[in-house]
Amino acid sequence: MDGEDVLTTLKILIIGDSGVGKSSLLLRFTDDKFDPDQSATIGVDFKVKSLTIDGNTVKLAIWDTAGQERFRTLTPSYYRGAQGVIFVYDCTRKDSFTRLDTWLSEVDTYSTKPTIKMLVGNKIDKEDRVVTRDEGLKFARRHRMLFIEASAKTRDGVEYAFEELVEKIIQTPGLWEHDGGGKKIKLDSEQQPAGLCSC
Amino acid sequence: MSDENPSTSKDPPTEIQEEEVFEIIDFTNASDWEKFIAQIDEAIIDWHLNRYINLPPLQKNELTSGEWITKSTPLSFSNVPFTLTLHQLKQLENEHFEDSTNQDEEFQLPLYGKDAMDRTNDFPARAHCLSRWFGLRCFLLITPDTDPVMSKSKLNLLRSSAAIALNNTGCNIPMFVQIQEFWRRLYVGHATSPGIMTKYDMVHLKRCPVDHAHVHGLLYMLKAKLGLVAMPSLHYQVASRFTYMLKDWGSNGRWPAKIPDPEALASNFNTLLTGCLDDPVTELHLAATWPYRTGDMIIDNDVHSDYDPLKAPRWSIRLLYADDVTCLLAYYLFEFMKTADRRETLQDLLHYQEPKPEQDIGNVLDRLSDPNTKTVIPIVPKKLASGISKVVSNPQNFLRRGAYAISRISKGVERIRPDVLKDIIKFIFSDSEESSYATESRDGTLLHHKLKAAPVGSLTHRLAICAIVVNLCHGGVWALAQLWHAFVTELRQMLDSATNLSAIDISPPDLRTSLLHQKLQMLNCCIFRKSERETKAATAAAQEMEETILEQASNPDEVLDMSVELTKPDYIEDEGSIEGNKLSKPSEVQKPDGLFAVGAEAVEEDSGWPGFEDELEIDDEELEVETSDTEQHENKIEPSATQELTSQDTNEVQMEKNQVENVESSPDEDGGGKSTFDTDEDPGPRQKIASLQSESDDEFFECEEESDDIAVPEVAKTKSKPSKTDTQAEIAANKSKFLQQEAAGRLNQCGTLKLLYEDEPLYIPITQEHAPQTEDQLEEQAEVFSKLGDTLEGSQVRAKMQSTSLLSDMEAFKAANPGCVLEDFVRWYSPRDFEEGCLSPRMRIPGNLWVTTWSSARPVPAHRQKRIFDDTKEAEKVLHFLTNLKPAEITQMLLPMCVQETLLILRASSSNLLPCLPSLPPLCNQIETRASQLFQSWKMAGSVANQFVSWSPDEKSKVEDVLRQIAFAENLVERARSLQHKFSSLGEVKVVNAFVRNLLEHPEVELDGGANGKQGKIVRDFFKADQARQHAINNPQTNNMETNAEGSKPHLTTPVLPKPAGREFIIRTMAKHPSRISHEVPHRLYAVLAQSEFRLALSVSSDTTFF
Ligand SMILES: Nc1nc2c(ncn2[C@@H]2O[C@H](COP(=O)(O)OP(=O)(O)OP(=O)(O)O)[C@@H](O)[C@H]2O)c(=O)[nH]1
Ligand SMILES: [Mg+2]
Repeated sequence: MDGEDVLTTLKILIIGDSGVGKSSLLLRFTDDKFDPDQSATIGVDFKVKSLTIDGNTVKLAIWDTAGQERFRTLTPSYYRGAQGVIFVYDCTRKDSFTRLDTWLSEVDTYSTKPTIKMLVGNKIDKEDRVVTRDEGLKFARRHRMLFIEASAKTRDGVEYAFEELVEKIIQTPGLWEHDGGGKKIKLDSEQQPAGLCSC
Repeated sequence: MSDENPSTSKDPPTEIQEEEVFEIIDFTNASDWEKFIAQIDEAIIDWHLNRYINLPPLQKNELTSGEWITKSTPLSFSNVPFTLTLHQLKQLENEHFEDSTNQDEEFQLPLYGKDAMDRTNDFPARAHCLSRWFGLRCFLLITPDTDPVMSKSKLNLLRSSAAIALNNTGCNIPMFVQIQEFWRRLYVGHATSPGIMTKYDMVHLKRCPVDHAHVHGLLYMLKAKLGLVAMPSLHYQVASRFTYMLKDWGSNGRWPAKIPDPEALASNFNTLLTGCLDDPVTELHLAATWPYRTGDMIIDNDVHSDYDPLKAPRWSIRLLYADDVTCLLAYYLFEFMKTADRRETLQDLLHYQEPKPEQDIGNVLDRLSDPNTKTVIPIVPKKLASGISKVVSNPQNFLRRGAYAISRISKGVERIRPDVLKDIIKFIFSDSEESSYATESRDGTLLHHKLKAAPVGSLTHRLAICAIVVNLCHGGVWALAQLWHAFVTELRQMLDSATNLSAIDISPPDLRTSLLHQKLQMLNCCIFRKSERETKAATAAAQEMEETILEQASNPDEVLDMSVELTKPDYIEDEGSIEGNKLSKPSEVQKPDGLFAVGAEAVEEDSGWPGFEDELEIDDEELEVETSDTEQHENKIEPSATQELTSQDTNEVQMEKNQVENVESSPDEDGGGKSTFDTDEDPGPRQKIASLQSESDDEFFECEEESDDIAVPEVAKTKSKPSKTDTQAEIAANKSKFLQQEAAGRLNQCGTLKLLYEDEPLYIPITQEHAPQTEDQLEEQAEVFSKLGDTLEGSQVRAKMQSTSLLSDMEAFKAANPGCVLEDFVRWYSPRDFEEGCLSPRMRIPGNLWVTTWSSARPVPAHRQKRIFDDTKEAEKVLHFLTNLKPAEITQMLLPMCVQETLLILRASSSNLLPCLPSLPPLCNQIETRASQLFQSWKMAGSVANQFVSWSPDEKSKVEDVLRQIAFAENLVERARSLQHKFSSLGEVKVVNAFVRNLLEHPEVELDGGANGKQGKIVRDFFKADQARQHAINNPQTNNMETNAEGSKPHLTTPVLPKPAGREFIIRTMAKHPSRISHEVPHRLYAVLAQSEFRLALSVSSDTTFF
């Protein structure tokens, strides 16, 4: 998958409160596993993964940030140059949802160029959800974000979230640059499968 | 049927078929000529012109104001290429078409005939010449692609091709063919419609034939052409227009009214000056128009003329503009950009003894310099035609025009005068002031964020302005080098004296601003920390001194040592970390020899991360003092594999190694640092020394602290408390360890939380702040992180590298909360991870970094910890970075601030000029957007590697694009100002502005009240003054008298207006042609009589029914 025909490398950032499952989502996406034995992130962590969408292979450099208050001063520096930002909240924790505003304004302050934003409501496998899908949807619409609900544990929606984000980035002109010369982007018809709202 | 036709696979024949079934053209054996006609037919059908078109009459000035559209298609006549073009006034397309079917009954003029007779659009200000000459709103034109049509036979062939094609398709749009050399703009044409046919012909001569140089002659010619010599002139309508040119505005109209004073330019560092060195409004063309007179009313023959322009019913003016006049803002910028191409280093320039002004400019200037002109800046004549494209293609040339003015300042002053330089530096470093402009961008965000520049009025901003001024007026790149050198030297002094930079905020680098600004913010942070520390150290030193003298008067050595320490040079400031807890038990001191050895009891060898040393300058050596009293008391050794990320220069490392050697008893390995050395030593005075010795290093050191007022936990109580949980022996160990530890470094209580195993409130500790970083450092860090790869190990190393502040926080927490456990810490730090009375699963993973870091953390309050942020070193890095910039790089660094300033100035003028220049704000927005994109995407430098990334050719051309746009906007501003000035006597500001706007937006403006209106009077005065000047030049003997008379009273012998530069006439008539029984059909003659051109454009119609 990796090789010469990589269309571009995209920088993607995952943010959100501590414990909402950012690292778990990433692990699910990159290694397709769920590891309860993953410690709380310190500072920022990083993973790469290649993804092929509509025949275009893109390399993703995904930065996983710590949600802990005390590390938060570090994260703004990583907003620079990111083409996509994934905002994660925990469906079973209202406070992680209400704090999204803070995360949003931080991104708006520090990101240098327009980015595609995606909202992910995580842990839908759990019984005790308190944030409804509709609430998430509304928030996403209001802030022009992609929206999806997911579970890192059951893998629901995870891969799809990343794919959709990347597709959106690639379709947005001026957001990214070709790695090599001469390669043409292949644009396919965009169907919008259920569960995802691109507002 | 054409379907069977083998040679045509296209569909035009079928279309023709549909239109007119009887006219099938067989292409099988067509000649070249027939093929040519077929191509024209095809195009006409393609463009849907194969029908009778009729439209409502033209609006006034519609030929000028309306939108013209063109369509074209290639043609070929036996392999000679032609182009057929349709020119059409936009409206035509959308309007309804009338079919020709019911037109037969009554004779009706075709559209082109009506338009030719329509007087509402005579002499359009801007239109295709064919439209202008023949009065058309729609026409077809065949032009040869390569060789002009010179021969009569070819001409006839083409002309009849056009006629046949028009006939074939029933198209009533005139079709022209261009003949003769292209520059002569000669056309012949043909038009046809039911019952009428029109021929278009032209005459073009260098000189006016005397017989036809007046209306009388022209009338006669037309009559003769129509064969109606006897027809009374009454039936001929004449429209006339005379044009007069003004090239010298005179002292009243000239702009700039005052040429920018070079001295002022050179001594203004506050902002950039605006203005132009030459008038962007170069010429005025006055047209006196008589729209309608019948031929019999006009007396205009070879002896007499009754045309008096001052009495013309209509006056209108048009202005000519120069796009290449030098305007100051652009001038500053383009000159500044020149240094971006220099290759020299700062040192090259500073040490170059005899700098010479650039050769090319120098020569030009020498030629220009006139010893007599003292203050007047000569205006270099325009050599080339104007056009923004010139500015675009050759900024150098653009610059040259103004070069002389400025060269007068900098000539022979390749270096800034020392006093001037001193003043500049003083100004740059003075306190900040409020900016006089609105500093917001179009969408309300701050402009300096959008452009990645620096706040207006900040140190960075001022520096940029000074640099761009110095570059222009004080010796170019040499002066720039000088300024930079002085600037950096001053920064160094500020650092040394721990004086904060005044015009810059003390906050971590704002990543939204320019790299340079971030660097200066960083430096200011360093200076701030330094001064804070020095103040503390000074107070501490004073106290210590006293105490030492009082208590330890017997030990003079130490006092001496302290004084030595205080004057320790910068470069050895940065030492290994030294920690020391207060020991209560004084004992014999075994004093080591070297000063530096004092703290170097234990050296920990960190395994380090392979491959890192080079990039990060990570030093994995660390000096620590293991003097925790608890250890001494408990005699328990806690593994203290504290691994901190420390950065140390190699020479420092070297130094430490030496020190280590100096230590008599070599330190034990690892955490077992409880050497005999430790216990034997007197920690009290040692610690004092350490505090001073590492003054730059241990900023949090402070002898006196709040520990006094915090009660020591009751020993008995703590001890008796049984461990309830599975937190094993470590808790017990901790507890006993903390037995005698005094709480230290508390900030405040964390709500109502209490420690889990102590009856004590949970305190939030004072913590160290994160180290501020500039964007290049952050980028480097990110680079390092990403190079670690996405393996588990990489991930662990990354976490480890970032755990410095976690460790620091844990240590501070332990210090503030004796007897605490990890759970306590987590409850404060990450409350989510403490649920239902125990740690979350992820915190309980054995061996996870939180647990290991916790166990390695010792209770050390923030003020005793090693600094996370090494300000001494960071300050050096910044200065190093700045010192090593090349002038070209300096330019690159400063440009965003310069562009920001020009944009702010333009915006300020745009709000002033809004009534007359409403197009300026959108233009400014456009510049802002472009500049924003450009500056945001710049990646500039890496400070550690100290590598500067210079502009790529692509970036450079984008920069130039932005500058050109700025130049253009500035030119517009100057045009508006120039016109405001010229017509200032019109009355109220509002009136002037409205008129100026009109002038700027329209190619030609009619003056209210003609020659006698207010506007007309101003124009007349300009001409009058110019006439007087001309007269004075031509009659030197009356010179004196004339100059005195200028402007004061009209001179009797000189007419107000000069001879017209051109006279134009349109003569129209409706007359029966070709015979007396024909219908009355339109005829039109257009004539222009100029100094070196005589042109006639004649359209004569014939009735085709009754010939
Ligand atoms: N049931 C359930 N648990 C999840 C899911 N995703 C994550 N978790 C759990 O939530 C806890 C926190 O997950 P992390 O991925 O470490 O959270 P994080 O957002 O990376 O947290 P920080 O690194 O502190 O910012 C872990 O115990 C995970 O096992 C999920 O989809 N369903
Ligand atoms: Mg995480």
